[in-house]
Amino acid sequence: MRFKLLAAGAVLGATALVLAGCSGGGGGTPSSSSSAGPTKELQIGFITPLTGPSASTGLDAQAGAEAVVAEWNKEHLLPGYSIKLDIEDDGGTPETGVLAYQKLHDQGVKIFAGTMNSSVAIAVANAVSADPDALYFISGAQTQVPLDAQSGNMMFALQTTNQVFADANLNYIKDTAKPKKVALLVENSDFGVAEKQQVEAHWASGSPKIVLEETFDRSLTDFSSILAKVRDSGADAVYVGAAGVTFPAAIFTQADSLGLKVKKFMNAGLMGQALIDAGGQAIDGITSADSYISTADTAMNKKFVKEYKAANSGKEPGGTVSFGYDSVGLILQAIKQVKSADDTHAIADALRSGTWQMTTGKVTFDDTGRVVRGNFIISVKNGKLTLVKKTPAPTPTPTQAPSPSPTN
Amino acid sequence: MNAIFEQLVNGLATGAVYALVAAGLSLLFKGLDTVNFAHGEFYVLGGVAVFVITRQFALNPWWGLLLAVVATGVLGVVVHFLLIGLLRENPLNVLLATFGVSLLISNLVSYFFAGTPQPVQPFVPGALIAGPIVIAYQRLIAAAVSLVAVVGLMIWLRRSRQGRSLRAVADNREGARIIGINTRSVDRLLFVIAGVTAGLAGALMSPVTQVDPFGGLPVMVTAFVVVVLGGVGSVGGALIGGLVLGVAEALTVALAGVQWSPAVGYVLLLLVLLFRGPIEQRIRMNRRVSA
Repeated sequence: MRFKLLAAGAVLGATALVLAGCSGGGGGTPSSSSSAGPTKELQIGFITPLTGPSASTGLDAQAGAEAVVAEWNKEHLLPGYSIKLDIEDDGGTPETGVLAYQKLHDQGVKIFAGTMNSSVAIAVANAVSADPDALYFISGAQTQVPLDAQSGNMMFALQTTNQVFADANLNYIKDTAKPKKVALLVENSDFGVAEKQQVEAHWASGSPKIVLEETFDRSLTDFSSILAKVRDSGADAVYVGAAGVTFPAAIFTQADSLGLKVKKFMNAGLMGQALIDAGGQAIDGITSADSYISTADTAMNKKFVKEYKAANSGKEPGGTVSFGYDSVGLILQAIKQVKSADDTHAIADALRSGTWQMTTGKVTFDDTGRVVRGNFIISVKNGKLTLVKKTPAPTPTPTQAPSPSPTN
Repeated sequence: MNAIFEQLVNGLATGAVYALVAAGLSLLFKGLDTVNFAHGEFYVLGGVAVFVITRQFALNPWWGLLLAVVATGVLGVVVHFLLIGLLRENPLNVLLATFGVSLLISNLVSYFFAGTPQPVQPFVPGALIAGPIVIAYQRLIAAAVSLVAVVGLMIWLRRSRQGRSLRAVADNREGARIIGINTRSVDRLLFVIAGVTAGLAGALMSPVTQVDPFGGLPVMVTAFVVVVLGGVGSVGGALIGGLVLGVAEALTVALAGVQWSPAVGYVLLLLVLLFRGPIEQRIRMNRRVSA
């Protein structure tokens, strides 16, 4: 009898413990108790190219986004939340990008970042706009189209437009580097044509003088015929306008093999380790503008670089890594200020009205949701990215001309 | 005038490499009545071989050339076994499967290259300077080796027993089988030759153009144009077609601008398709009349 009573008591006690554990609130113990209190899961969807020709930029951005999330989780910088990054591959194509967004959205994600290609960003933005509560932060693409087309002020972009990039880059070449005769080689695409127009507009005074203009097909790999014309033109500098590091690397490598000694310039936004890897010694001396350099003198950047190098065998983060780190980091800073991830409109309002810290310094957002930031003039010297000068942030102008991204 | 002459030299050098890539594709097309969509990726793998030898093992790039030949030849045997051995009953399946192989190779290379084209060092650095003409030694090597390989292939096809078997199968598979030629063995040899020619060309050009994981498709398209220009199954035709295309492209760059260069191949292709049939028909009719 005594044994039966003991057994019944044990069963009742165990049942009570289980019920207490399941009850959650109402004065009970939180479900996932810790010293920091109850935590909710904050899902951030990160859409990026992990396969296809843009995979290198997408993988870099993913690494940056993962680094900032790990940092915030580790240091409990967002009280009450456990941050989870849900990563989906957009393959660098609009169709896959939209599928990636829809998959994340179906899982209940309301906050999105990523996309490195303009065409993908535009397609994803169209899909995002169907949900008025969805917040979308474009990490890498430079296109202005989604920002201009939005109706709910829920979209943001980290990159400056090509116009701002071009001002920094082309004015530096004109006023400081001062080549006399330039051969302008651009790819036959909307990006290349836009770049050619920028160059012609900035150097319309004839200083420097454009002595050769060639528009090459993106399938071209052998530039010997063009380089023969460059030598024949008497140019002392070559400016390459192309999306991605492949073309400047190939052109200057082939120029080097032909013994062609020229000053080397290219469109902005490509100064990173990928360029050095692709061009080797042949791109030593190349100069252009970019939005990030790992030697940027801010506490956040120093910490970011230190931790990234520790986690990646001493490899320094490039610009595309910082895109992921900064875009997700800015979202988290805004959530922290709002003290809730539930109201995405409040997060968006906070982003638009505040001043925020990025790896490269403090930034604000213009009326369209684009970050207002300065850039860097960077040169490759002895295989290292070297800061030449910092250009100031432009005055925000909502009517900046849209242009395709160099990562396309 | 000097510029034109320099472009002519450039065009001939490029054309010789076009001929080498197209020769293998042409033979395979004629022999198996199917298109190997992975042919361009064999070209990429040739470059990968040089990259591995020079960048991973820091060895002389000539070893890369050897590795390219061996690796693409072996891969040719593997692809033949997997595709022809298992799918030969349905040519459409073979065609689609080669497309799958093409995607597999390009994405694998892209994965290992982190999506970025990789430079490789030239076999011989520097350039030959002859007055106003400057041409990289690497390009001269690529042209010379390509020419030797194509001419060697032509001689081998005519003089050797295996070469004659291969031509017999290409001309009449059933007839060749009846007279005792092992067509399966010939098919395998075709894949090996196609793989080696593409791989050799890719290895030779990799220091000039870098190794692009997705560079196979443009090469494949160019090879197609050369095959049509020179005639399907003709290595000599591929040589002429390659040189004609190379020179035409280079002169177009010199005289009109590089933006017109990609159109040259297609214009030549169109002209050949429009006029070759009627011209050949007229020649045959004249022969009959004179006979």
